[in-house]
Amino acid sequence: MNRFDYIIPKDLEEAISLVKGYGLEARYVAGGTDLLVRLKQRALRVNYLVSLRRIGELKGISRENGSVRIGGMTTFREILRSEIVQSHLPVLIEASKVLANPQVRNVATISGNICNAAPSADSLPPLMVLGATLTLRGPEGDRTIPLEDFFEGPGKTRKANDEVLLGLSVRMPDQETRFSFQKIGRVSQDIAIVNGAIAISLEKEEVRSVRLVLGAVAPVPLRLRGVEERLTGQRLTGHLLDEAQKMAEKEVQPISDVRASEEYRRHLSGVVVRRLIEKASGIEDL
Amino acid sequence: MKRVVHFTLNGFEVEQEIESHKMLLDLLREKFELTGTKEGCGQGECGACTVLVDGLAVNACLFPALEVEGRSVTTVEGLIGEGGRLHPIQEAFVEAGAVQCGFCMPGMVMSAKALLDETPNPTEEEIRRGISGNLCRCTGYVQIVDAIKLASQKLKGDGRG
Ligand SMILES: Cc1cc2nc3c(=O)[nH]c(=O)nc-3n(C[C@H](O)[C@H](O)[C@H](O)COP(=O)(O)OP(=O)(O)OC[C@H]3O[C@@H](n4cnc5c(N)ncnc54)[C@H](O)[C@@H]3O)c2cc1C
Ligand code: FES
Ligand code: FES
Repeated sequence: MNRFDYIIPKDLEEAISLVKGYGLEARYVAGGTDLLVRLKQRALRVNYLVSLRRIGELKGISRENGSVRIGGMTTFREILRSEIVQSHLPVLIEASKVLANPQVRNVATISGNICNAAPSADSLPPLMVLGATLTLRGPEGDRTIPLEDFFEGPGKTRKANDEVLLGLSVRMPDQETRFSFQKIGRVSQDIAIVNGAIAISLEKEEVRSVRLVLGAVAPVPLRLRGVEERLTGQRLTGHLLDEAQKMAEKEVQPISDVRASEEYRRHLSGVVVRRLIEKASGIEDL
Repeated sequence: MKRVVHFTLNGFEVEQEIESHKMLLDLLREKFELTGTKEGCGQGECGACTVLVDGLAVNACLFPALEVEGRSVTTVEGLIGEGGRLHPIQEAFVEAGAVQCGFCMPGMVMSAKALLDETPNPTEEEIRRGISGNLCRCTGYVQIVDAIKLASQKLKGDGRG
């Protein structure tokens, strides 16, 4: 690890002006569970880390006009313990439970999980099927961007280096929409080989609308639009599920790495899609 | 760049100058010579460096030293009782035969403490989840889970926590 200077600014304004001033020599740091590991592995070198940990306005979970707002510096521990998330966004609870381990969840933040832009990040499929919107603040002011449009590739986002992710907001889902989350790893709480989430709304076993996202199977968390289109307007039958499973295997674009081969990831993608639909719809063994 | 950090360490107010890129683990082991806290992987995977910051278990190898400013840190050395008596959790680990080489123990005991502080009567599942960030290469975890169950009973009689 190189000798960077670790700076704890007193407020958001100071944080932004520091990173703007230092340019690419500086990075924001949240819980550090991705960034410090990369620095220690010498996969990255920076001269300044600007800490967001003490900036109160980036923390907290609230309900505002039919939406849930989650501050960027909210930790996964805090998400798991939030009554608002438990009652309105249980699919995010499912994902947070199997994200890393207690020590990591006590410091790791949702903004870190998003900005790190790992295709395997566990909060991303749930947040994408929930249709989350991000709010960023940079030297020139605030802007919002749908989470779905935020990622460009592994570790790459549309955020400028000096922009802070203030938080995200999610419209509270209607009663009819059902959700589920799946993660397959070597052991539970390991980085996912494949993960995914679904939001599906049914009318008498017929699919009215569906959003389906898989992680770790493409350079960015991937919406399976082909499968979504195939399902929409159809009655859920065993035959349809078989078809969705096969389509998913083709629609993903996985790579081989230390965790799994491309072939195995394709196979798992189909399995995960099937389980997501079964679990969310409550219709099993079709 | 050197900076000064002020915090509470095992109940004592302390201040210490440290280079700002150092981690809490370096601060504890190098500056305070509290070598109970171990370094295994140095990357958040093994939990050998687990300490409590404001009561929450964290990996000291990934916790910037300067971030403990104004906070309260408890290490395994802080568990010691009057006359050097072991903490009930430590006693339970000894009695359950949960210790082999011992390298994982300071971290394991601190994770057990964080768990029991919040969940005094954990189920086996809760215990396993509570120590899921701590690797042990020796024991196979069965006796560790037993030790935490035993510790939970001891603490009920003890009132020390
Ligand atoms: C042992 C271990 C196990 C793990 N297991 C999992 C797992 O199971 N699933 C999973 O998804 N992840 C896992 N992770 C990865 C990591 O813990 C998560 O991605 C975590 O959410 C990162 O958050 P952080 O606050 O620690 O981010 P940091 O490391 O502080 O930051 C990550 C990146 O985001 C940027 N950033 C952070 N916050 C902001 C902000 N508010 N504005 C602008 N930029 C920002 C930083 O500059 C940096 O580039 C694991 C990590 C470890 C060490
Ligand atoms: S040494 Fe800190 S987690 Fe392994
Ligand atoms: S007793 Fe040896 S690593 Fe746990």
